[in-house]
Amino acid sequence: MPQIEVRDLKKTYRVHEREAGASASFRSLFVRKYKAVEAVKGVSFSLDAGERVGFLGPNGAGKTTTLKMLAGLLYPDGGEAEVLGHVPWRRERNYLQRISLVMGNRNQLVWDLPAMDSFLVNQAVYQIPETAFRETLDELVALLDLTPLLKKQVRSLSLGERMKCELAAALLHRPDVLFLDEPTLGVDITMQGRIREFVASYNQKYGATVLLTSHYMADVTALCRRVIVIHHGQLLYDGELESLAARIAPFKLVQLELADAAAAARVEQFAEVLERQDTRVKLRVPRGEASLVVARILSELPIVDLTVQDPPIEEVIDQVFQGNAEVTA
Amino acid sequence: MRILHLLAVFYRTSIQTDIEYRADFFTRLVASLLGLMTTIGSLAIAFQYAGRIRGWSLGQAMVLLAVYYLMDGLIEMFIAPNMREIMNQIREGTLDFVILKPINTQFLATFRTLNIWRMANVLVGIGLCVYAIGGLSLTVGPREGALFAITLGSGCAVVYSFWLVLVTLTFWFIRMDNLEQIIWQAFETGRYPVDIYPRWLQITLTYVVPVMFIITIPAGALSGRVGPDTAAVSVVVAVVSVALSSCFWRFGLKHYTGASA
Repeated sequence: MPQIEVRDLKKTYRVHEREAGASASFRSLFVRKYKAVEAVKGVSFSLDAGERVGFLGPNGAGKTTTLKMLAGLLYPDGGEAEVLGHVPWRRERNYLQRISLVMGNRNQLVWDLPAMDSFLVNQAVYQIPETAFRETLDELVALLDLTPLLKKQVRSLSLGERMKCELAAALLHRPDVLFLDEPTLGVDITMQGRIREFVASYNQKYGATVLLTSHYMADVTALCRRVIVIHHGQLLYDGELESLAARIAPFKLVQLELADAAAAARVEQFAEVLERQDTRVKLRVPRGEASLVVARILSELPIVDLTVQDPPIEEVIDQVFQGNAEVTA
Repeated sequence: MRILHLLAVFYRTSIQTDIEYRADFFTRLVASLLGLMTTIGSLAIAFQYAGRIRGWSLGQAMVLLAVYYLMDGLIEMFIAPNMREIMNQIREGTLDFVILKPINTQFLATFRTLNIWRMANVLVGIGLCVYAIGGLSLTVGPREGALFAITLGSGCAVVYSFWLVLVTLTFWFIRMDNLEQIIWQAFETGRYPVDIYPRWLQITLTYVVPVMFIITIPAGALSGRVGPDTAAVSVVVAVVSVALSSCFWRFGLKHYTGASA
C-alpha cells in the first residue's frame, strides 16, 4: 500500500497585481486587482514506504507548493492526498507527529541559543520520552558530527553547520515521512555530500519515505533512483532517473582526440559536431547508432583518444525545462 | 500538567537567551523610573489645585499608576515578545514550523517565549503599589487581594486577546509596523483615571479598547472600590474576548494556509 498517494492535486494562488507608479500604488490601497496563478494543475503520483524520490522542476514549477500541501501547510483547491493514511491539511496530531518538513531557506532553531535548547523544546513539543530522545540524539550527533556544534549559538554557526542542526531538530521525533525542500541550498560541496549521506542512512535505518527537491542535480542523482518532474504545475515525468535520460535525451556524447587538425575537420561526415577545438571534438550520436558510428570513426580517422558518455543529467533536465524535448511518462 | 511542563521548557530556554542581554534589565529599570518620575510629577501638579479630581484622590491615582506599571511589565514580559515574534514569523515564513508542530498552534505561538528583564517594570509596579497603599493607609485583606488577582488576570487576558486580533490581521496585510503603536497609545490612556476623560473617550476606552478592564478595574479592586460583581463582569469580558480572538486567529490561520505562497 502506498504511503503517499496524490490524486489530481491542484492549487491556485490569488496574487495581488499592482501597476507601477505612485498613483497606481495609491489606488491599490483601496481597490486591489487579483490575478489567479495556477501553481499546481492536477498532479498525481504515489510513493511506497521507504522510497527516496527526487522532485524536480525549475523555479516556480510548483514543487514547494506540492510539498507544503503534503506537509499540511496549504489547503489545495482540488484533488486529494493521503499520507500515512491521513489527509495532510487536517493537521491531525497523529499525523504531524510522524512527519517532518525541512526547508533549506528557513530555520526553526532559536537564533540566539545553542541548538541543544531548540532540541529540548522539540522534545517537549513532540513528547519524546527521555530515553528515546537521548538515543536518537546520540545517533544524530554521531551521524552528523554535531558534538562541537551543540553548545554554540545557532547564529554563530556556518550555513552548513546550521543545516546539520536543522536536520537533527527535524528528525528527533523519528518521522516516517520526510519532506526536504532544498536541504543543501547555499551549502558547500563537502557539506552537501555529508548531508546526502546522512539522508540516505536515515532512510535506510528507519525505512523513512523521503521526498526531496533540490536545485543540485548531484543531490538527486546521489539519493534518488526515482524522480518526478513537474513543470508549470504539471507532471512531466515519473519514473527511473536513468530512463529519464534515455527517454528525453536519446543520444550519447562521443569525445575524440585526433592526431591532426585536418582529420578533425573531417568528423562532420560521421555525426553532429557540438564543439571543436583544434584536434579535440565533441560529437552527438543517436543512442542506437553509437557503436556503429564509433566503429567507423575508429577505422577511418587517426584517433588518439576516444570516450563515449551519457549526457550529464543537468543538460537533460535543462532541455526538458526549455521545452526542447517532448516527454511522455 | 502538560501545559505547565511545556511552559517550564519554553521559559527556561528564553531566560537563557535573555541572560545574553543583561544590559537590557538596567536600561529598562532606568527608563521606567524616569517615566515614573514625570508621571508622578504631573499628577502632583494636577492635584495641587484640587484634592480630588472627578472623585479621585492623589493616593488613588497613585494606585492606578502602580497598576499601570505592573500591567505594562506583565505585557512586556509575557505577551509582547510572543506577539512580535509571530509577526516576524509570518513575514519570514517560519510560522510554518509552528503550524507543523503536533500541538495547539495558538498556544505554541503565543506562549513560546518571555522577556525576563522586563520584570523591571513589574518590580517598579509592585513597589509603587505597596507605597501607594501605605500612603492611603488602606488595608488590603484577602478579599481585596483575591479580587485584585482576578481582575488583573482578566486584564491580562483582555490585552492578550486585543493584541492577538491585531496580530491575526498580519495574515492578510503582512507588514504592519505601526501595529504596536495602536496598542501602546491606547494603553497609555490608562495611566490616568478613565473618569477624567471626556464622555466619548470614556466610552471608547470601555468598549472599543477596553482599557478600563485592563487597568482601572484592577486598581479599583486593590483600593477596595471594586466588589465581586464588577470582578465577575471583568471575568466574563476576559472569557469572551479570549474566545472571540481565538476564533479570529483560527480564521486567520485558515486564510494563511489557504493562500500564502
